[in-house]
Amino acid sequence: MSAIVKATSLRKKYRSSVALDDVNFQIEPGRIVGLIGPNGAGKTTALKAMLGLTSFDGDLTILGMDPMRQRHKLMDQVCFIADVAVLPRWIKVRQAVEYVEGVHPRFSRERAMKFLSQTKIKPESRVKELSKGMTAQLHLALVMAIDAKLLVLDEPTLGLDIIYRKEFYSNLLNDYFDEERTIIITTHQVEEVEHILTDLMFIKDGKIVIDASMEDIAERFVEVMVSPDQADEARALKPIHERSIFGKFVFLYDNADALALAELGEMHNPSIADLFVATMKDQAA
Amino acid sequence: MTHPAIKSFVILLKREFWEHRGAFWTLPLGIGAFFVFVTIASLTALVTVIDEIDGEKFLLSRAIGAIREVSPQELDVLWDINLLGMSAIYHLILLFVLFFYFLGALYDDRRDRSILFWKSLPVSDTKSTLSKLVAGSIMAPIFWVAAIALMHLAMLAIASILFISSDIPVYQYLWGPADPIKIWGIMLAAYFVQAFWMLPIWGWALLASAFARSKPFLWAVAPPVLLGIVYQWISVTQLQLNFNYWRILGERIIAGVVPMDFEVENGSLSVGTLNFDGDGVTETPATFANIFGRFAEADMWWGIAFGVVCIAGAIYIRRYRDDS
Repeated sequence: MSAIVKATSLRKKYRSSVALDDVNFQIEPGRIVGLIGPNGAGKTTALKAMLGLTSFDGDLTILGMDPMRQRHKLMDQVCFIADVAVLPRWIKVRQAVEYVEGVHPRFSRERAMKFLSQTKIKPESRVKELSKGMTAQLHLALVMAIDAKLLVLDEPTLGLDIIYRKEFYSNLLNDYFDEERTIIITTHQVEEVEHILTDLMFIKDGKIVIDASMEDIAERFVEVMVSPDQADEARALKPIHERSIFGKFVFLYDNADALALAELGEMHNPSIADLFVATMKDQAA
Repeated sequence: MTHPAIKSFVILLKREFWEHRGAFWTLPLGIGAFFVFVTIASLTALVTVIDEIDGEKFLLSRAIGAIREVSPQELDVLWDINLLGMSAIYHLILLFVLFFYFLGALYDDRRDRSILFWKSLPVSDTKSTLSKLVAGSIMAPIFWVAAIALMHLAMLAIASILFISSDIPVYQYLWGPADPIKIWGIMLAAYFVQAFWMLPIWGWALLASAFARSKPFLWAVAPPVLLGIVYQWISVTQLQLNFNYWRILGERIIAGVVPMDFEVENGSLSVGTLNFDGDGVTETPATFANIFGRFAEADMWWGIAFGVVCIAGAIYIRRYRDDS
């Protein structure tokens, strides 16, 4: 199957900074990809380039289309939620459904109404009367009712409380995702998405620093808890990060010799959050 | 309605109506309600407060009875003038309403970031911008004329009651000579032509709306004013220019085709267009031919050309500029 997204030496410069610095990646159908990086790393720029919202250098094709030149045709197949605050505040729920139905050939009113009936959202409410969590539910209901090939979520749960955040992702996974669809998510709240991702991309200073499937990540990265007297031995094996906890050291390794590590102490898979901290810290730290 | 392109354009117009229901419908209805209220209140005041005028006992029916002295030809014109007169303020207010509507049309959704929602759907920027142009320049005036029509009917109903209570034959003096349907037709036709006459102004407002990162009003108003200052300076200190900048601008804004001014000339209703020649008003009979005749003027087409360039610019900026 052909790639959903294909980026080749993608570059984007702003006046004072480089947002994307020669980025290459490919996203296959049926994946849920987490695009993760600190603020200003280039996540949002990458998404905006994919959605034809910003110009760029290099090659980028989405579903075989050029996002700048074929933008509105592309939007037949691609959905995105920029963040929770972008639904127009004056619109009524009923009007939002009617509008999307009117302009989107792949929208199913039935599906949208079914999702909405599981919430407390009333059709006659205006968006400005809804809580942030309900606004996100409404946006998700609209988007999930569209039969799209690619869904792009940029910080979709920012500012929502934990119940809505959990529900948001479980709805997405249970009621929407299948092997024909592809989802790209950027978020700060790594812990919440790590269980649903199939692939991980870390982006730092406009560069992709890790691009791997979750299985590969589990194989590549290992954390070992080491007692202080073995710390120097552990450091000799070139960990990418170390931290201390309860008087012991925790070392993180990328592609290290498992047998050698096993002698140092207890091995386990790092959480994405730990991996994130380790990768994003400067080498000197 | 079945073609998907038409269906989606209709929903885009509907979207504008939902968002601007107040300006497109509630406001003109409110103006009419206010008129009706003031009319009823002043009639009540007339009847209850005024006892006598010039020593004679005041009777409303006697005052209304004066209509019997009007000749049938004059009666036609009298009702035309009445109906047009009651609607004049609407046209003026709508001018301001539309200017601010267009200033916000491509700006408000960028300010509240809802543009990211609109842009997540398969609607081209050309189509959404044109839908806003049509919503403001064609759809809003239709709603306003509908509201004017309701106000006319209410006023004519009040007049009918007065006539009947004063024993004046209501058909002979009111419903026969009054021709509100003709007036509404003239207004609709005039607004259709007005949409093209005003295209340079609306296009300019849309361009400012798409361009401004803040204060679209300033971006819309400051450049033409600055240009005027430069024009003044050149024409006063340097050389005699063979055009009048302020006149071109002024005529464009107030010399449109909607009946802003009207008079009776040679016994028939005329629609005046303000200009800055001679006595300031040119009268032409209010006929469909004269209204659509504006398309024969070169000024109309220069304006349309300028408007089209502005709108193309607005669409380009909306499509390609990355604001966030």
